[in-house]
Amino acid sequence: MQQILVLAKKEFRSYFDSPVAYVVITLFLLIAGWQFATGMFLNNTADLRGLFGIIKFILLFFIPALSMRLISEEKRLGTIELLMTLPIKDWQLVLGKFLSAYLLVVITLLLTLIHYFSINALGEPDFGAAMGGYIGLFLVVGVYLTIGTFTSSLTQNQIVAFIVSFVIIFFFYVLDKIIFFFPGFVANLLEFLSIDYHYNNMARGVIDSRDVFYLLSLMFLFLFLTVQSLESRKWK
Amino acid sequence: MAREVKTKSTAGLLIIIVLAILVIINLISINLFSRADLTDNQIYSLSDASRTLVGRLNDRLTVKAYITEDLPAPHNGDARYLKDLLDDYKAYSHGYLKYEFIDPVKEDKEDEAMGFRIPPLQFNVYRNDKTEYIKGYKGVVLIYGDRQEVIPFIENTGNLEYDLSRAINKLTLSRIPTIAFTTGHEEPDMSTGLNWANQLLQKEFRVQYLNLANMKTIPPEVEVLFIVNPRTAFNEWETYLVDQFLMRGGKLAFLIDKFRVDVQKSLVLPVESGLDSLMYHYGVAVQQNLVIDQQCKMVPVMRDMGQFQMQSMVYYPFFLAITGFNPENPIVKALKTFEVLFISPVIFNPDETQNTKQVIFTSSEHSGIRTIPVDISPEKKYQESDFTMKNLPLGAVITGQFDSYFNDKSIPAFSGVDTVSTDTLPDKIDSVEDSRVVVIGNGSFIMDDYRRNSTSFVILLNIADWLTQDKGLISIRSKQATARLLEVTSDGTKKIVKYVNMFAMPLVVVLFGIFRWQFKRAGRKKAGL
Repeated sequence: MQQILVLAKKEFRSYFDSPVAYVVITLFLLIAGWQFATGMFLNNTADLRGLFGIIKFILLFFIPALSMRLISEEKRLGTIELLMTLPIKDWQLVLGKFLSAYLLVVITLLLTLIHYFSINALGEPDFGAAMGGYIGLFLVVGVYLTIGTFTSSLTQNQIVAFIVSFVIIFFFYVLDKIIFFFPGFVANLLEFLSIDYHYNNMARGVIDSRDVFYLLSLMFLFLFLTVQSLESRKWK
Repeated sequence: MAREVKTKSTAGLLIIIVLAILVIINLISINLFSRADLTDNQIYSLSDASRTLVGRLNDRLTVKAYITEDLPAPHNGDARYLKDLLDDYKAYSHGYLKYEFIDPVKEDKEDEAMGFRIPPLQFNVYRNDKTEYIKGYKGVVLIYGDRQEVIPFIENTGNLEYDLSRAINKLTLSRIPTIAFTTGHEEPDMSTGLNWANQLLQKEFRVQYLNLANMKTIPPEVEVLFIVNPRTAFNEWETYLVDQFLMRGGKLAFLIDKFRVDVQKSLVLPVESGLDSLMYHYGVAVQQNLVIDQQCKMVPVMRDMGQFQMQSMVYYPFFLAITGFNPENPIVKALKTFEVLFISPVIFNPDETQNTKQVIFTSSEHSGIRTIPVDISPEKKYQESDFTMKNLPLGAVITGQFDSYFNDKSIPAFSGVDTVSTDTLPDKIDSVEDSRVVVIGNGSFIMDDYRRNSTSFVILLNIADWLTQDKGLISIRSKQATARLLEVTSDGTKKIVKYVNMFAMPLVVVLFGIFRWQFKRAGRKKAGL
């Protein structure tokens, strides 16, 4: 655990040493804030559903952009071999990398709480629904980030990592929107696999163990796959 | 540290095992789940009654929602609310409930919607500085086997769970409830005024007409007994039968005219039903007077104008246009206006505290009472001072525990001709844990003369529904997913709020970056780098 946290801390700090993180986060907040503010008085309702809708969409690009260099960069520079000589296991490395990015995204999302406070000042939003929305977002970005971490471990090329993770994330995002083309059983399955379907459940303010379990399962799966992908160097 | 050397195939196997475990965990979690509703009013929690209802399904129930996408506010949230609600039903239905959303206009399925008698509605849209109308649909069909239930349009989402559960209940019910009307006291029956009511009721219920005088007991299949406008008094035995019917769990509806009114002759004669003290004992009786209301309808009046007669319309305060409905009661909560001619107020028995009494509709804020002898002439002029009373209760429901009216009285002897059987009389029951009674100070509203007044018959059917329902369904209260609106603020404030929401946080991030960069540079300078 100690090693994971040390690594996560170091990684997290390194985000702020380059302007990339600032640019990405500022852009994220600008787009979300601009979209939210323009719709705010048009709908005139004190809820955050609109905001969450926008955030979900921006995340499709935001997360791959943040996670693309996590492992691929180390691979490209060869520093991965250096890391491997440290007394740190592959899974600790993966978890540390993931946590650093996760912390960054969670902080970014918490910055959007300003929108909640402003509708709270002007009306009476449903606190539970807003909370459900945020809990859901935290889980969803977790899944997206594990996907990003995984694809980043597959290649040395950041652009390839970005594109592949975008494609996988988009696939999970779009699943529940295309189910009308499928017969009942397949449609149900696809709907269950869709991340957005589970997210929408939570954004209503209803935390359902099925949604939580599924999203946690996905996170675990992709972290596990990342570890396997790192270990593949040693496969015979 | 020596690491295990893995091969491609063992890694592949491991991945498959992990996948399998995750699939199993999720399969288990689908069936063993719990949920927490964080919303303020628990608006997304289905009531227990609805859960058990869909949990009992054992055949496929298809719900088709014919709803136009992007309806203008305030209808825009209804589809989403319905979908959320249906998701909840689905979650408890063990896979038997399926639903689909259809936009009849876009998908060219307007004929299909019409086939289910879902009417197109007009919605106002404010566009280019003028109001335009667009056509839209907002109806739901539930299909179960070869039966179907239609909710032609969703009027308010707060009642939606009740409406859906009621429809599901009706569809899945194997028995058809039996309703009976009493006869033998000059009450209207199929041939004397209840023809239309009978037709409507027979779509959903079995309908019987019972002459209690000749019965030893009310047949056990009867679930609801309507007593509508008796003109002569119930005798002791008949009263006893009614009482015992309630005691064994039967439900009662008293729709009582307290007067026989002849409009032509301006004659108002009191009627004695013999049931007043029985009803008062249960908790609510009808008073022997008539309500007048400033909120009323017009009637035609013939006037002699010298040589010839002229017809003119005058406001007639005995012809009430009731709008004071109890939003909590399923019988009336969806109604707008109920027009009724000659209605009497109900009176509550303050001593009867075991059960719950609820007013279902009242007169307006400007109403009054006329006692006999009543002048019902439309020519009569009224003063403001005639309408000083407010919200007189005109109908009520009683739920909960009832004690027998005959607990401190001797059981009357059976006096009729035994036409049913020669069995011995059933033992007297002293009380009932949970039953329901409806009392309304008018019975004529369900008669054929009022056939064109659709609200009347909606009330009749709602009463029958409400009385035949499971207890659980009644507990589904109206839940309002109120649109939470932002307070009206000045344009200036709006602008400020807008800009703060747009730029405040990005600015914070940028400032943090600059600050950190400066700080680092200072640190480097200090270190002499």
